[in-house]
Amino acid sequence: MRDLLSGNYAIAEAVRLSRVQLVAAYPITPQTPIYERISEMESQGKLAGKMMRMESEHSAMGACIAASSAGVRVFTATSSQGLALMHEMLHYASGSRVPIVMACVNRVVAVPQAFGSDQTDTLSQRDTGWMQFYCENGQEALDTVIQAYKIAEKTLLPVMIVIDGFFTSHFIEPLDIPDEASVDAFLPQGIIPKRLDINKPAFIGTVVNAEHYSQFRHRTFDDMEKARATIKEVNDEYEARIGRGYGPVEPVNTEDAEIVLVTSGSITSTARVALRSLRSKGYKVGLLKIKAFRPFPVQEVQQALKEVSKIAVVDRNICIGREGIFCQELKAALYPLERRPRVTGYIAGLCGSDVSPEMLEDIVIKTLRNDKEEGLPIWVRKD
Amino acid sequence: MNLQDVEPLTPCARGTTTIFKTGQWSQKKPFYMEKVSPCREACPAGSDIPSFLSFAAEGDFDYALELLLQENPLPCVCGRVCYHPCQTECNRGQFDQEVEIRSLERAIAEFGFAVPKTMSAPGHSPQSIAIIGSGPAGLSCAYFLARFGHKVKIFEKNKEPGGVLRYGIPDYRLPKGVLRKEINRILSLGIDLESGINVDRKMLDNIKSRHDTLFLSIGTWIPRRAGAQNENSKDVLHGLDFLADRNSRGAHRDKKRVVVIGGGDVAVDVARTALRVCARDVKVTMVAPEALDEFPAIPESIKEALEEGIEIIGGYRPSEFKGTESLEYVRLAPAKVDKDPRTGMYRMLPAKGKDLVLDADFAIVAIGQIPDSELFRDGLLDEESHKVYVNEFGMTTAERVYAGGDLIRQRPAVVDAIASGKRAALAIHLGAQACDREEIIPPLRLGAGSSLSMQSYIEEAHMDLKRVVQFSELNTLLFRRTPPYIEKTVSPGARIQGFREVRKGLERVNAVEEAKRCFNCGRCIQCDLCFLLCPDISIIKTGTSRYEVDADYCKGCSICATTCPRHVIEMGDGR
Amino acid sequence: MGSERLIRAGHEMGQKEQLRQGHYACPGCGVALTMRLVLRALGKNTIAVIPPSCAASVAGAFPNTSFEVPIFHSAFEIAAASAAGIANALEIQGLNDISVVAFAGDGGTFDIGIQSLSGAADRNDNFIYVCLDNEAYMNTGIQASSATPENVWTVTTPDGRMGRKKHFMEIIAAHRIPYAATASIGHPQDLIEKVTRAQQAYGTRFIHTLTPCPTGWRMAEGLTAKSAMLAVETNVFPLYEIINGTRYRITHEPQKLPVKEYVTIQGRYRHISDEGIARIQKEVDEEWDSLVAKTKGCA
Repeated sequence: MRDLLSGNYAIAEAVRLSRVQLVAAYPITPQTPIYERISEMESQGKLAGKMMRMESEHSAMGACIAASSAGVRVFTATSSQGLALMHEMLHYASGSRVPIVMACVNRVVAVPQAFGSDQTDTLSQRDTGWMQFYCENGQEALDTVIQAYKIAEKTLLPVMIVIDGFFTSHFIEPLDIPDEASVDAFLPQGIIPKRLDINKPAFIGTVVNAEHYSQFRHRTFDDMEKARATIKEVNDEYEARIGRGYGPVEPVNTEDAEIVLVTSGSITSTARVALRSLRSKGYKVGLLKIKAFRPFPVQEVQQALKEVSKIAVVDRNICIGREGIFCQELKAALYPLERRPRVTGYIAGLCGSDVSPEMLEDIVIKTLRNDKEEGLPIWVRKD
Repeated sequence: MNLQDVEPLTPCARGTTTIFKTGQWSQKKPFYMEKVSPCREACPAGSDIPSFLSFAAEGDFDYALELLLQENPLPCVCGRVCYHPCQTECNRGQFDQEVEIRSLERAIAEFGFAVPKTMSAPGHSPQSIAIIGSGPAGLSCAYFLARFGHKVKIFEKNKEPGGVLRYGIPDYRLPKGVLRKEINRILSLGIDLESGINVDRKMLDNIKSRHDTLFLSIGTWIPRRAGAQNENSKDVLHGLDFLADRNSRGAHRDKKRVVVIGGGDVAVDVARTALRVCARDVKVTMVAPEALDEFPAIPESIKEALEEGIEIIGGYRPSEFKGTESLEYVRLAPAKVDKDPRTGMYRMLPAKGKDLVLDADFAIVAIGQIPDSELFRDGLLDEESHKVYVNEFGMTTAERVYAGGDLIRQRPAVVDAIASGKRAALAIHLGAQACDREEIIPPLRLGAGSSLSMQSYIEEAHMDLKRVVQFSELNTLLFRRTPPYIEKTVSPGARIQGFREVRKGLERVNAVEEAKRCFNCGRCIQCDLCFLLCPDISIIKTGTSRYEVDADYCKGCSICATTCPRHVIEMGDGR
Repeated sequence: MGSERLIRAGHEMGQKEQLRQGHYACPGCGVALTMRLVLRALGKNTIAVIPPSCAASVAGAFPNTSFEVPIFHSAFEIAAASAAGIANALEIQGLNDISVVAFAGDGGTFDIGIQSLSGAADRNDNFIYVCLDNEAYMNTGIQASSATPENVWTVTTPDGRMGRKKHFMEIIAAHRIPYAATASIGHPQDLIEKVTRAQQAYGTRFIHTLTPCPTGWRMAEGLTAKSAMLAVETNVFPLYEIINGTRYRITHEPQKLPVKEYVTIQGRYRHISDEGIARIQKEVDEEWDSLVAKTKGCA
């Protein structure tokens, strides 16, 4: 059915449809509407399980990991400071191999204190062993949450769904909500292993020695690599049943492009507008949306960009001491190519500052004209 | 997916730590060694007090009585008249107040039912033993010998058995019915009793020739004289004569002013009996040469006597009983009592001060008794003490003749008499087996004293009979201070109307509570504290009455040894 | 009511035991002993939660465990949140006859774990939280925590700790949870009874156990239980229950021995002066009077 929903509410709908059994969360702007909507669902009897109103995000993730180990499907959501507070437990979840799905609504991390959208919060967690999917809009977020449960439960790796604060989280759009029967057919119940079984008692999470530690980490590494195929399978199945699918990347007009603009999140929508405008002006420009940040789509990125001579990466984030994070990861992915495109990084839209189509057009044109190898990213702000 | 699928992915430990033999961490391991409690060491009969009290504490009076009877055949008696040296040594006395062991002995004998067990010994060859005198010593000797399977015959002078128990201790302290039942329990072991037989020297030789062994326990019935003037006059009697002759008591109904000379249990009983049989408004005064707080009588008896209105004066001895036709007064001279350093015997000496004159129409001298030496050959009696000499096993200087009770040089009390009979019985029995007494008996003595553990002779127990547990060795932290349950007594006014028993005996439920106050020093009562407090689950309950140590895992931390309330567990160098 | 006499208590062996031999606790470990007794009382249908602590060391290292029941190894500060998550998960699955018990140390309860415990208590999540209080961070080498009593030596308070021990029972009472109690391994019957009573209640239940540590308290290994007994009998650690945060009930009448007897057997109090002991005595007496006052008018 069709409905007008914000990105946050879309995620809440997906949680309901996925028959999540336990939601443990803590409020933080701009995630709060997800938490509120799920609370409303619980009181209306629409939620398949219980809510735990936690005293901190760290505890929320802790409760999720424990509950998941006990065999129930769990969900949590957070942003910014909350995600940062959760950091210890993100490692914990991944190492525990629990199929948690979490929605993160991008927001700056203090200091300075502010509320606008910024990907630094989620990208800072890139080493914690979670899958990360950056969604462009509410519809994609809704679909991705449902897919995420299947991916997580098949791979036993936790999954993070990321949307832009305010631009996606609070923006109301007409969305398509899949019917319960279709989701039920797609997403099986009761397959989460019950590790805390009194009939088969085990000490879950025991201290290990160096040898064992290395073995477990290697195994998780290999499983994350194998997850790439699972992500694709699940997406294909979802597309077949529900009618919508997404790749780990989405190339647009890259076949003959001399320059490709690389974006993620809601900026991609703006980029599509800029793309059409530039093409109409005769520029051979393409767009590459990166959805899957972890596992990083190395093959797909190489495939899309290997014939391209120039690349402009737009990062709504910054890693102090290096550069924009998507830019950095992209460069590393392109490094093995025999002929490497020239990559220029742009920092734009920090803290939700406006990124207009014109700004993106400027970026493309500037990059085309510039032949110098830029060692450092170029900061772009609206004048 | 289930746990097995998860195991390769993230650490899930399903192995067991029992593969680690942590017992190898330390050589030290605990071991259980029961020890002697100070009450038991002090009890001449060697009663296993902590053991039988542990069962009384559970309400199992039957088994408690069975254990009691193992070492002492006269619990109904001792539970009433004993001077309870056990209580003086009771470790609980250093915590709050001593356990009322004597009252509990009485309660157990009252509420429990048990039949004395025969003790079978290997290579048994029954002897025939003649016992002269059926007082506590004779009864005790007969009891143990009969349990060993020997043939015992008792010769008793009086019509009824019991000796001083019947003829010396009044009903208000030991009812005759109780005594009769107790003696029947002993006789029912198959002991032959001939009463009304006054054995003289010729008969004694005859008896000796017809039996393998002789045990002399005739007691002491000849009163000591005070050496005062007119001591033989008609209104002056002597202690045991007065108590024994119940039929002539009516003759004293008119006496109003009685003076009793003496400070021992007999003197107190004489005074209290006089109070009951003389005139209704009689005034009774007890006078003894000892200081008031050093009277030899049991303190409870003195307390009861005072409650009944008897006046007690210390520090005087009688010099003259004066009167024209009948007694009018007694003159008393100051005196004191101390121990002769050379002989260790008590002696009376004159003291400074003025004479005391007491009005009296009746006087009774009760300052002790001596044996009838007519019966004995020369050499049997010790001249200094006028008692029969015996060695550590109760043997006299005459072959095949043993002796015990008041006849020998020991405290003239019931439990000491019982102990002498027990010791002689064991010595006689070992003699019959041609066993080495010197080797067998000393290890059975408890602590540093001479009391014997018959239980340890019958059954090899894993006990250190020489180690006596001190209060400082106990862990009393889990006990709470509670007052003891004291036997109620009949009110003094009601008591002196007659001879009804003064003490009422503990009620069953109170007896159980009082028995719980016993710390059970040195004995394991399976309280499970060691079992529960082992962090390494290395104290094993075997399903028997013993714990075992799992040496494979015990780390030798010694929590069990440190915590055992009764000091049963000690640490050793692993076996 | 506290036992004066433990006679033939009839404690079973064998299948009642949920802790195995062969664990790596120090000889005389109070934590191992407490967990053993608590698990005995709870029985087989139990899931334990243990954060990094001495308890975790006792529970075992991969691939072995010393528990007969499943354990979830939580992060240090969230034993309570983890136990809460498991409790809710079990309820959602209709598994209502399994007890969830968290074993956390004093550090993981009084300090870094207080937030998570407070949150769980606020939600009245259904589990039993046992604080194994050995009065310092022992597993990491005897550093002071807010459970360390005043004057006590630790490696981070070599001159003796300045602050007083946090009164945690009052903090937990303020949350009005259905059941809270203090317990000591020196009084095992009382401990077992309290765990049994806790198991029968629903909601967040808290048991504060004093678990002496011979290594950290600088005393002989064998004194673990005796020092716990002394703590109770000197009123340093009274045994009581708080129902619904308001009804106080003392479960053991102490002998009221002088605190000196407790203090002088521990090396960690070695440098305390007579004035220091007198001060402790005064505080202990005041706390006891205050506790007794709270029991007045309670059923």
